[in-house]
Amino acid sequence: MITRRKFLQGTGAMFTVAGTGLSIGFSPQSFAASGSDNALVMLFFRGGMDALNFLVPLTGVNRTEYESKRPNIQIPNNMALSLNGAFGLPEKCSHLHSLYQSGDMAMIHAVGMPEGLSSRSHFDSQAMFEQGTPGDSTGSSGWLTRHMLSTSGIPDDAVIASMTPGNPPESLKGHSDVMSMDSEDASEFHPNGGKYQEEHLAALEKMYAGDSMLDKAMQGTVNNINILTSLDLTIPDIYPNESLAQDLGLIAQIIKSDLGLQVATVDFGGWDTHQNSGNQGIGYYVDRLALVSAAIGAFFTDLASAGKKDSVVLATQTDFGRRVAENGNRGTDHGSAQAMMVCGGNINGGKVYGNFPGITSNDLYLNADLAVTTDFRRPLSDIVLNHLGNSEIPTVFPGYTGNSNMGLIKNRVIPSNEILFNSGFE
Amino acid sequence: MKKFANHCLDRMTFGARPDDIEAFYSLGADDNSRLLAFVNQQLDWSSIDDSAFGALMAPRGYVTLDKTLEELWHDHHANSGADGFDRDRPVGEMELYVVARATHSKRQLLEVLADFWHNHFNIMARDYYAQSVFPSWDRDVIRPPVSGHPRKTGYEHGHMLGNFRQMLELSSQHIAMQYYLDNYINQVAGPNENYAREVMELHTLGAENYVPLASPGSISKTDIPLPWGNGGADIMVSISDQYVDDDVYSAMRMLTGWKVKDNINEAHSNKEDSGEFFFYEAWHDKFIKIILGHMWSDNAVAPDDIQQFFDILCYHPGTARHIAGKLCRRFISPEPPQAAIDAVADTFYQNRYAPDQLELTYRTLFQHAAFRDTGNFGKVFKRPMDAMVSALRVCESSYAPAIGDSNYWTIIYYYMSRAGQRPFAWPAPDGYPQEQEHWQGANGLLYLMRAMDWFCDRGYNDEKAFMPILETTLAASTPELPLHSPNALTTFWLNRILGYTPDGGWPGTQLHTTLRDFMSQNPNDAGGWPSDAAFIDVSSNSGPYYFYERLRALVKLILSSSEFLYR
Repeated sequence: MITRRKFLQGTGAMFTVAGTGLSIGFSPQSFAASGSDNALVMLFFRGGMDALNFLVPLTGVNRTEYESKRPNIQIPNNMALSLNGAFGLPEKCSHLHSLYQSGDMAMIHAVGMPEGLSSRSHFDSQAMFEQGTPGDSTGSSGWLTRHMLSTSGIPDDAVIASMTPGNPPESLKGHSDVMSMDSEDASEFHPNGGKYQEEHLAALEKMYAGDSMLDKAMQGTVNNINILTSLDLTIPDIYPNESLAQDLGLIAQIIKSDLGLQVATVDFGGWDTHQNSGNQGIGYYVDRLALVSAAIGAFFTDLASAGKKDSVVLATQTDFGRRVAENGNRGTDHGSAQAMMVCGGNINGGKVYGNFPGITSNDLYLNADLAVTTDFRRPLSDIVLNHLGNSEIPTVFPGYTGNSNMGLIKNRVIPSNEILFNSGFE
Repeated sequence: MKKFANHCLDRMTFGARPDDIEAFYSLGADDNSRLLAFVNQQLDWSSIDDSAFGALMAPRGYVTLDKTLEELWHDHHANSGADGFDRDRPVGEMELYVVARATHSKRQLLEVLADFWHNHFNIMARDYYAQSVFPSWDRDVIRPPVSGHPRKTGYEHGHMLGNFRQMLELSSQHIAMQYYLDNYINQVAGPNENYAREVMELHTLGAENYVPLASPGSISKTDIPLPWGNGGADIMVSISDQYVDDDVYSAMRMLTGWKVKDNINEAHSNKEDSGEFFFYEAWHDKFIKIILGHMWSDNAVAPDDIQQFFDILCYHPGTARHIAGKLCRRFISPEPPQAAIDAVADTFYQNRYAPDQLELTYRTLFQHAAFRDTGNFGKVFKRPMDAMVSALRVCESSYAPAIGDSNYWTIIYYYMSRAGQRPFAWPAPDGYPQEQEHWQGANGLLYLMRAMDWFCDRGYNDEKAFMPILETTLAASTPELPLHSPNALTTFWLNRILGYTPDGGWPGTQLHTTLRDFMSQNPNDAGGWPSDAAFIDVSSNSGPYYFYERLRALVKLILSSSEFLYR
């Protein structure tokens, strides 16, 4: 069995927990030693989650336009939980509402890619968000990979050899140490599901003792399996027995293991609601949101019980928001701006950020979509810089200029290179 | 020492079964004559009796694969839902069928070449529009025509064993490609560059002939023959040796109006929604165009101008070199000798008008000394689907996916997907990478090994065993497997799976020693099991020795070895 000490001497290993596609990445020892054990969990809603039935306009012309453009699928005012008076959540999001009220959750309306660079294609749009490159879906690395690689303290001999095939998300593209697992049961991700697990790995180590790229990759694979096998991961009963909750539960247990987890990604799909998304506040879409609400509620309850609530930020993304007007099938088609949620004890929560661009016909992008007013890279840069302490925004989001602090983060982590500079030696 | 047979078969098949190697040896008196006979046999694919495969698949519930393009488009796209036809049923069937065919068809070279060309003209098959018509793309563009589905007049040789020029044009016309790369909306009033760029960068000239940010005037030109004279006679035309972005922009304009009959765009007068190709002249950009140094004046006859554009691409020596290079990297080694690329490119180019241009090209490839050179053995890494299918083949699994069976989801949508190569699922138009660097990451390797684990354990103790590991062990002849000792079992299974014996035999090699020691150890007994002592009962899966468990783990480890993962 690998020891924690041995693990911490390793490289920035990353794992994907993939029941629905969940990835985690650990920072190397030297980073953990610099003082930050903060983590980011990126939750991606695959399929294009509707913004306006999540962060619902409650008053004024926004409300009138909302009701007239969504005669069937609108969330009635009396079935919404107000956040700031102007916007609210569907009442089934009670756990999220509680987080908001306790200051641990904030919403940002009308987030997306700059005008002219977005796409209504699921694939292109997901790739661009996750590669962090609006207008270009063909890059070779994901933004989380670049964050990991540009974080101060990654050792020079970190095994970062080749692109990662398979299921890890585009945000982790280009990191050769990304690895997937399915559950807390080690046998589920082991190359020998039978009796001779340790012996099997020992034989593989002997078969791949050389220096070729395949040897190195196989050694990394065996090492990763050993790390995962050494963890004691049991998801507590407070998590609903549903995929998102279980994935978040697994991440929480890894965070609680104090291994220096720095980034994790989770997928939760089912948002491509072209038809039958709901009717007058009930139905498929709000039921799906209720799963999100319960899962995130359990996640932060669990983290808080271990004193970890302040060190973890959870942020959400989706392919795109959907059209403002409902279609003929009580659904919505692919649109533009989305509503982003950020949660955690280190969030300046209890606020709705961003500028709502309005939804009168003159306000709409391409005459149909909620327009983007906040570049998605802005809140993410805030998190990377101030929560994760990585100042290399130009590397994480190449070509992104004009970033300014949104003030999402309460207690700023000083990037380690600034610490070194200030102390003058080391 | 049977390495030559293994070397050839690993390259030209999805994995050599034990009887494939025997059959190869019966084909002639020496290596070269056997190889030639095998190539002849495989390229004459319709003479290979594949009725066993047909019989295997007949009861397995496939219903869309024989539908025409019009039927697929009508049933599964335009009217999906009616009569219970799902949009993604055709692509779902293709994803299973290609695995079945690669595993069980005797026409192995056909399968390997189809895989090559599917990646060359890559389409992500679950693209919204491609999913309903994907069986047609496979049958009517990639593969040689089959009975009941002839090519249209003038394109009889448009397929992977025929003529590249015809194949390219068929690919450009097919609705799957039209939608995947957006040429269906490419119009003079709103041009879309997607297909124009990829047809040059990926399908023909290749990125090696692209000079970014250069001006067209800076590119050298050469007179090349093009069949534009009277009666199709060659005339010399001055054409740029390489292409620049301006050529892509002009190609985009050239390809305007080259579309399909769909019901998406309101503008055209012909709203027939059949999925068939058609040229809509009203959308075509008729103004002066210069591509690769050749000029088409205002109001050039259309679509003749488009066909001339395809001529230039297909009859350009750079295209021959691009395709030859890809073939050599796939079939010879990641760094093939330039002489081999030149020879293959020369055959491709000299036969550019021939109906069997591509077949002749493969003959040059497979007869080349670099292909025959066993010094290249072990240099081409198997991609995950290749490795999984070849595991099923070498272990003689009888599994063939049936619609609704309980295993295909795990294999295809779980293991292949997570290892990084679900069939037809590479999203970008460049196809699954051939470069081994792409595949040697921790996640892909883990899921590859987990797939081997699953294959070896699935149903191991009943008659539905995925891999007949125990049966094969028990049925082995005494000379092959004198006794069920760690030493002898290791030697037997290395021979069986890898298909060759190294000079001096397996015992004493690092791989054999590691595996034998694995078989000999016993966690419950520090003394271990003697290497040369027969297991009490190799079929016993109970403690303290778990003999059968060890046997399966031996196979899993061999299937995870670099000796297996490289061809």
